[in-house]
Amino acid sequence: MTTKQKFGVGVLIATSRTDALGNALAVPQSFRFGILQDVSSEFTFDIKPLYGANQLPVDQGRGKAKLVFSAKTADINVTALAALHFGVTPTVGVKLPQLDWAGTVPATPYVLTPTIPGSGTWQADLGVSDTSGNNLTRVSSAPTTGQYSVSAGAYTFAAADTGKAVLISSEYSATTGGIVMQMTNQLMGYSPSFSVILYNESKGSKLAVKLTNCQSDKLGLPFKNEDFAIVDFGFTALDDGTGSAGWWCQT
Amino acid sequence: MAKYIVRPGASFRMPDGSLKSAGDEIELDSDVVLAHPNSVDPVPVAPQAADVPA
Repeated sequence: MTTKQKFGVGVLIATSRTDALGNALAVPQSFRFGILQDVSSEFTFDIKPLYGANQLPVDQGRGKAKLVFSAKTADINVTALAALHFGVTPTVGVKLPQLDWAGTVPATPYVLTPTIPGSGTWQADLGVSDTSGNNLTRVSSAPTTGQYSVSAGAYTFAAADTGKAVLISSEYSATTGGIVMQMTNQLMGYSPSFSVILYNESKGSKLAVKLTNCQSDKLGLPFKNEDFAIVDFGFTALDDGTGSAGWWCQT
Repeated sequence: MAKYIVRPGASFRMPDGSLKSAGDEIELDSDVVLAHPNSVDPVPVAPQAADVPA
């Protein structure tokens, strides 16, 4: 007898189907989950048992079904998450923090203007500290020792702090160098949808599960000390409008 | 790709961000049509004039 065991996590490819407002995508995009760690699946049904006088049911009927999945991947693909979980399209550009830009408070006018990467634009202050880790206090104007004020990326310090080494952190934006995804506050009731194919070819046979209409209901992005960040992408499968949620195939 | 007409109640987001809605003509690949059942109809083929021998 030939057995059909499987080993390993296999491959998961998701293909976008609708945007965040339920509009079908004329040109869908497919995303293969990279560095896939594990995929869990649950095909569960409510059951309604019928009891008589004895302890065991004499019959039971299936009620509601729920097809729940979770994929864990170490490849953090914002374009894929934008399409599959948020239903939006990222734009080109960057919005990033610049941490601990080092400078020394100069003589009058006691102003430091950190160099922004990528010819970008300063957006917001994220604090100033000295090289011992002591935070300086932000004030609106006329800083005294241990204080600073900031306007449009120019940091002004007290005359008494001339010669002090400081570390400046700020947010900046630029028009190139990455992608930016807005987490748009969508109307309730709408969700992007996508199809998924799970595929495992091992131990001499192939197994594929196609889910034709899925929606993501969970996205976890845990950062850990001394470990890689693993995205936890949860989704459920629905009827695709033809009376089916997909298919299984095995060789 | 083949040409279709979007059915009432359906809408398609184009790559440029524009929207095709009911009655609009759209070119779609067959896999997209299968992924969205009951969303489009094929564009009717115009009747050809027949050559009648003299």
